[in-house]
Amino acid sequence: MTEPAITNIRASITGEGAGERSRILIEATGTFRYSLTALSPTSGSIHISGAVLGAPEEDIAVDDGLISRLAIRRVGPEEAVVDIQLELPAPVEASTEPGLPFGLAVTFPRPAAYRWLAGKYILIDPGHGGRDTGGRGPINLLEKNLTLKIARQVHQYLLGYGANSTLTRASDGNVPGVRRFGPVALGRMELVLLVHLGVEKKGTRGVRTVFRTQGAHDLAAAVNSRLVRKTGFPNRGVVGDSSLPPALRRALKFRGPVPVIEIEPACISDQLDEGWLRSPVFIEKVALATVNGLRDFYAACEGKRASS
Amino acid sequence: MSYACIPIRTHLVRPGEDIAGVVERYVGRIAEPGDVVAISESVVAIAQGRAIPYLNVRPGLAARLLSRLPNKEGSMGTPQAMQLAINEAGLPRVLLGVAAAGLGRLIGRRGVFFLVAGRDLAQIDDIAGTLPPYDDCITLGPKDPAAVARQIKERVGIDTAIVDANDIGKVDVLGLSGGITVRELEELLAPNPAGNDDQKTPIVLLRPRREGSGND
Repeated sequence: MTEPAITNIRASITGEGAGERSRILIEATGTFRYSLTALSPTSGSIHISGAVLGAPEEDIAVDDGLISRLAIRRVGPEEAVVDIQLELPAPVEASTEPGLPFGLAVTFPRPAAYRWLAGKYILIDPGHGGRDTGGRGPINLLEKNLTLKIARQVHQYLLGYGANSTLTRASDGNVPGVRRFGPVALGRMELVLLVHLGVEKKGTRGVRTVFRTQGAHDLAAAVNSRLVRKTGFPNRGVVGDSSLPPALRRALKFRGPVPVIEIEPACISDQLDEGWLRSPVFIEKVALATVNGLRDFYAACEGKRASS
Repeated sequence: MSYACIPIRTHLVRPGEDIAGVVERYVGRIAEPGDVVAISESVVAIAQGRAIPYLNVRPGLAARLLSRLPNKEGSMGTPQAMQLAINEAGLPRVLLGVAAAGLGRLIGRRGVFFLVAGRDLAQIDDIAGTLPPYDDCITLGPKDPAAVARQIKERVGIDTAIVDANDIGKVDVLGLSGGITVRELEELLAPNPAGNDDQKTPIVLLRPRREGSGND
């Protein structure tokens, strides 16, 4: 029988709705002792003893909107420390999972970290649809299908965090501008999120976010920053462009100012970006990063209001 | 026999690395008699230098035409991946596979292309099919996986399987030194304990569950 060894550490999101949690799982070939220490409201560590560190010492970027980073390192022959960096204070729970592998699960509830999104009225427009295919990639993926996948995932996350999210289309089809953007004129929309993909010259790839109305720069920057971090893609930047679909322009005239931003998380014209767009895991990452960017923006707004 | 599946996190394996050395480093000191390691085929292929940047592949006319046929979600949707398949199997075999796949489609059978053109082509991972920094590569299947499994067994003393598993429950055992049956491996790895995202756990240690040992 060999001494227990830590074989794996990973972070994931588990549960749904009010039960959603960020979870760190540390696995080993046998039981070990542990203690949790809070170093500040947003950082802490897990001290592990009675197991050798079999996994590599490593810094792990998590960026799930609550856990920012993890680092695991050896501090003695049978001792290791896991440093945890959170973005926001959150209560912690730890539990062990007996069996093989033996697991230590450290979890943090997520809904409170998204409270700024609760009750927000957000309109998501997956670009193109029907005969309007949008951009076409080198292997013929169509922008209209990919924007829909991304938008649906963003919509699901927003609903889960209590936002009043509306999709302008939930399937493929030509949706007239008036129907797409009617909710802006009629409803209480606080944000319009246009989802597109870049179509650029050869060799250009990566993330770009466009602010299409005055005052939406900070919102676009918050989302862009999250997208770049989560995807690891090149940054094409945050740019201003006031051109809007005519129906949206008319709706805004009627309704008054509403921030409008457009995300382009990848370039469909680039073969590598198009390759990533085939992956459901990538679509999930893009959606989570987008929602985290929106959360960051609204949290910052509340912070500014509170300080003034 | 029943087994526990223990995912093993490793460093990022680089081209030219000795894969038996990687297994020795992460599993050597924790292995027990009866253990088996299952290693992801793509990490073996990367160590063998079979991850090829797509920009280094010049697809010919045949590859450009044939790459239009498969499902775009599959592993041979790009002209570059198709070109590498042609390089591996030869154009006649690929053409035969395409013809057979066409007939298979008529009768609603999938996977016929690989049955005819070669099972090894199914291991090709297209652009973005592998973790960064290999996402700009097309990763071929490992060369001689059965021999790799035997070499690891000889060097580290643990029975070894080279496997291709994914999140839809499909498991291909490409090489096996012994110690476990292919059927058992297929059942154990169907939930894909190594994960298909960026888990960095290319090795799964399979340990027989022993009654009363507490490992159940």
